[in-house]
Amino acid sequence: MLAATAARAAAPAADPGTEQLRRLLTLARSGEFHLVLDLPAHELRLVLGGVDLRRFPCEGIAVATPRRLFRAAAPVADWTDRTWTGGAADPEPERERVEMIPQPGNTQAADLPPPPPPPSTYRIRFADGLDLQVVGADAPPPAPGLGERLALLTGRDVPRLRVRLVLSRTDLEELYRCLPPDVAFAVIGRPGA
Amino acid sequence: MMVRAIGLGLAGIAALGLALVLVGTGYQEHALQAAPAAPATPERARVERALADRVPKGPYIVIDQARNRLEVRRGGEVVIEAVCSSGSGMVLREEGGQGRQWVFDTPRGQYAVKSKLKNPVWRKPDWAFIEEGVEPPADPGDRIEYGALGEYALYFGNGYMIHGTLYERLLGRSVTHGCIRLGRDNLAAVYRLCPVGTPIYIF
Repeated sequence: MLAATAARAAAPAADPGTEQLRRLLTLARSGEFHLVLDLPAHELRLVLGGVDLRRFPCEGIAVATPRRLFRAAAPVADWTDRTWTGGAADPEPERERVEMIPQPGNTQAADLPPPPPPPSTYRIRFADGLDLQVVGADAPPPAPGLGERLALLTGRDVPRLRVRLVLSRTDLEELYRCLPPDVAFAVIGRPGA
Repeated sequence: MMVRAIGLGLAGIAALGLALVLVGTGYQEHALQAAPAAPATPERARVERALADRVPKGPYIVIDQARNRLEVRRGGEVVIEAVCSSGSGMVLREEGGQGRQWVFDTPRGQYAVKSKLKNPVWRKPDWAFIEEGVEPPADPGDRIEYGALGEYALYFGNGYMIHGTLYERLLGRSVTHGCIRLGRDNLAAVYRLCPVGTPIYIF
């Protein structure tokens, strides 16, 4: 028993890259949808069971922290070394359920209007203070509005870290439409100096 | 007059201060460059293998409901790409009777082909009658419909199938009762390529 404990203590810690892969393996075995941001490949992936379902190439990735009174918080050191959970789109996708009216030769589904267009920018908000801000490559990144600045001042409902992903307009819309509820998020690769 | 001027001056200073505070509040971006990958280790290689083993070795089906696209992939390569139709998301409520309700969504998640049928016969469920304002028949024989599902069906559980359609003009739109519809040629190709047990990923 003591020998086993000593052996564990003596074992070298796995490198962070291997730990990241272990987290992906755990997510793959969970059977739940998750997002993986591959920093070296510059892409976001929607994954289920270890299979990449969709890849969203990122034209830009930027990390930002809240700044209050001209003082910015330091980046969250371990943001690439953990699994973020409870991800949900903000604003939430509008899902209006249309009720079918019984009638002979029912073709109402074919007459449904197309879903409303996704917003031009949105966030995927995770528990514990990470926001993925998704913006289109064809539009300037939005500046925080007055409400958001006031929220930043008070520190209420503010992410500790914001990761901005710049996607093509098509990918931005398709990610919004296919985003599963309560999605998890993990990272491959590490930001350099 | 003097008091009013002082008041206006104080209000101006306060407004300027607030504006300054708000300007100094926002987000600060930090440079982000991917660090070089760590050198390979036996443990890392083992975890990479375990991850790679999660991807099916044979063909597997990926269905994107947002785009109404179905792909059959093998070894990471797309071998069939087809326009499909997925669930409409509509709701049907039964007036009177048992007051049942159906939501015509295609389920998301991981499934597998459980059985394959040639020339499948559709045993119309109750909702297929109720949506047409007709009482479901008591005689099971009155539920049988030939040809509605096309030439093949791949059943993946809970009443859901990948099957054909009489309405190919609607492919690419979310119009089904939850099943996945394919065009004739693509359905035949998927049927040929995907044995029972083929994993299906729907998102």
